[in-house]
Amino acid sequence: MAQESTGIVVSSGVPIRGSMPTGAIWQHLGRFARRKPLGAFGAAIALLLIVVAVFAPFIATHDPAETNPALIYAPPGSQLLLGGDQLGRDVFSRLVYGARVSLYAGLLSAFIGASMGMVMGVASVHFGGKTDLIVQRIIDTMMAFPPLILAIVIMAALGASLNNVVIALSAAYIPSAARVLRSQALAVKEMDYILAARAIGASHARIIFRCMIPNCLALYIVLVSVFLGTAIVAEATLSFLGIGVPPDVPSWGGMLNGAAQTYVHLAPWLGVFPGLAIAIVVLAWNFLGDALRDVLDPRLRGTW
Amino acid sequence: MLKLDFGESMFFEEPVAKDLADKFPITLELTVLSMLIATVIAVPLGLISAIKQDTPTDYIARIISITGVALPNFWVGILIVYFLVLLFAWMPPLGYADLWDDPLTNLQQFIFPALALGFFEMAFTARVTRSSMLEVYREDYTRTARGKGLAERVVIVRHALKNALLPVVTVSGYQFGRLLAGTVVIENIFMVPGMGKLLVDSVFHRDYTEVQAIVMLVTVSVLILNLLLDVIYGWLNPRIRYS
Repeated sequence: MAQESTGIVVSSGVPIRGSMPTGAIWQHLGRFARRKPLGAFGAAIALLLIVVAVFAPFIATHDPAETNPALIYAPPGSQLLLGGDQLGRDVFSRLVYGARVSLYAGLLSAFIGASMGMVMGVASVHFGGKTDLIVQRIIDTMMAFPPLILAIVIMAALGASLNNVVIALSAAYIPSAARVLRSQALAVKEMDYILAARAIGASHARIIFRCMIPNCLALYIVLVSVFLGTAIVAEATLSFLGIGVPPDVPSWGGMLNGAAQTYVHLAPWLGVFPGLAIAIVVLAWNFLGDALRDVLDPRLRGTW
Repeated sequence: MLKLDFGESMFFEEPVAKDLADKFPITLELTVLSMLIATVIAVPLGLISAIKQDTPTDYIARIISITGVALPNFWVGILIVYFLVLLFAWMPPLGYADLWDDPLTNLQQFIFPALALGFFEMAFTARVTRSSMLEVYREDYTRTARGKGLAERVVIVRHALKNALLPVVTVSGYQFGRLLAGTVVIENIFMVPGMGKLLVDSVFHRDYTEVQAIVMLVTVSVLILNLLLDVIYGWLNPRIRYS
């Protein structure tokens, strides 16, 4: 039976996708939570972040941009949950809206960076020969720059805006993703059904997208979750330095901007909360990424 | 630029090379100091953690290293500044004493930024050392050495240690790049007049010639260091010497 399935071919020709009944999803999740409690904790926090980011207008107590001269440097108390910043804005609401910015920047950069890296790595392996060498040199050149410096330079050229931050960070992650996924693709290339697909004359696009990429998905998911953590820190760093999002956009890094010099004397608590938020979120994504990696491919344990 | 003539800075209207020559040694010193702190603390920590696996010592060390890699380095810097200012009424110094002129003051000034910068690397290196030592510990040749009746200490130092430290050397290459990038932030927080601060200031002033020169210098240093490390790694690891 020469059944064309979705690329995951089993010897009898019967496609195996879509064979899982929906009720079993919860069983699998429960097992995951029990076997990897840290990963479940990470997932819970990640979910909390997403909920806070999406429902920000309902959770925030004040308008994050509303300045109130009477509440400048107000200590945490009954009026403003976590105090007021240097312009009298509510720190709690800015934290909540900042979650949106962090999530947007982190998620998009991680996805775009990993995806483009994957396509580059897989395509370069598939075409082989000179193309492979050229692409490898390009990737090596990109990897020569420390990622933060590359991001700073791109931001300098493009100007301050959230979308530019996404562009800059994605560019920083593409080379590492390409490297890692290239080695995975090298292993996949030798598999029998890839050879079979070429023998029957499948087009390049078909082979890449339907045969090689599904096998790299496990690694891809792990990469995205790892990149997400670092992307959130990277966005915060850029905003902290002042070359990330514009100053009026609430961002956890931006909130820490004056912390080392101005706030220390006037309002020490202002430097604590945004940093704490960043640390918790990054920790959560790290745990989640570790747990996913252990579940999906234990061989990768200890690589980074 | 290939002729090593960087031209003049658009903002300061001085040759860029002079600026870099002044600031680069400061940043270099900060980076080297951070790497030293990170390695000197992390390697013993990782080793002990691996040898005494699953004891309370191990758990404490692991908690430190896991949180260490999650804390953003500028937050660690900010916390250190808080700590210093609130408890010791410390202020960031206005001028920097050169290493050769006044080593004591110089070290005093650099220790805190270096701690902030090296914290992440310390946690990361400790983690790598620990997992690498764990692997080596279970290897056959370690068990043979122990089976021969050698004292545990001799087994560790003479047989396991050298092999366990190999991945640490590889990792140090990436460390340097990250540290140089980290100086951009830490120098801002601690007011260290080095290249990192210069980079951020130049970006603000849209001083493209400076930015270009700094990035080139940084990249070249990272590349040279990685090359050196590759050579050293090849020398240390006889298994890949002739490949």
